[in-house]
Amino acid sequence: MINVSSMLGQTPAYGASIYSSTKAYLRFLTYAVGEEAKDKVDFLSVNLGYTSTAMTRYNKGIFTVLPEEVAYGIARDLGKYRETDATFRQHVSGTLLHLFPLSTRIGIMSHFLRRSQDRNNS
Amino acid sequence: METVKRVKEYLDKAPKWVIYALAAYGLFRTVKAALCPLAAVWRYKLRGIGNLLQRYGKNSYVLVTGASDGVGKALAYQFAALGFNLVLVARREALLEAIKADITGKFHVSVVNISFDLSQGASFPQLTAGILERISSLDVSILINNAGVGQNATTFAGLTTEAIENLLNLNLVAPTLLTHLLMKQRDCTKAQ
Repeated sequence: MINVSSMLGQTPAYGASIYSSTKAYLRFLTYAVGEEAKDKVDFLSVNLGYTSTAMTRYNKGIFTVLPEEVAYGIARDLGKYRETDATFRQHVSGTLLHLFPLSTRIGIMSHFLRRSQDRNNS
Repeated sequence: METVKRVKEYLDKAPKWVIYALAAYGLFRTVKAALCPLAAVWRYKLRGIGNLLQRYGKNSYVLVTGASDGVGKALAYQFAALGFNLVLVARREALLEAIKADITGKFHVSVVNISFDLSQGASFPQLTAGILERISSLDVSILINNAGVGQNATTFAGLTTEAIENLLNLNLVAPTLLTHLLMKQRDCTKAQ
């Protein structure tokens, strides 16, 4: 059972109120049900960062990854871990982000989301 | 500076074992900090995919929601390449048909398409009739709740009612109900 969550599921941000809440929900659900049924079912929660898809308007950047890399990472970690960042690059960006306390993380993520909002509007 | 001075004074008078304990802790943290990047390289760069077919069953199916584009499409190709049969669920039927034709041409797997709008049909009766009953004869061993919709950096107050319903149905209600229904269908409800 694989649930695709997001880095925004650990850090809420400007303009992602409901999105990040639902992703945090998915992450917690995966953990709880995974604990209940751990003898029978493998659960994997995937914390995606910036992936180049329609949702992100195919934007590219240093921490952007391709859907194919994500898919490979998910297949690699299924059954071995309960949570994954899918790719090395997203693991690095996630680890760097989590060096900061939550309040700072919210500011950082909000900065990026506001920037992408400006870019989409222009 | 006052604190540093006091700590120094305390350490000068402290018993030997306190110094050793602190040194051991420091060593532990240093080694851990040095090993973390190595562990990450091993986990995300060096390891390969294990034998998933053996673990989840030959001829079993992988159900991917939101399979018409993006990560879902990539997941469909990835699991087809590993030898799994596929159940692809998405709203846009034409895109699913194209993916099915491409995958069955490339890999020897069977693909079942289900055209279903999870943002409209996120309820027990609709999911049961639209998806669960159509896969009851198949051995679906992996469920991938991938379908989701973003918020396009819109503020909470600025969202339309329709957008809020879409977000909740697709990102929250549909994965919850699908997971529950499939676990019940496969009788995963009781712990062993």
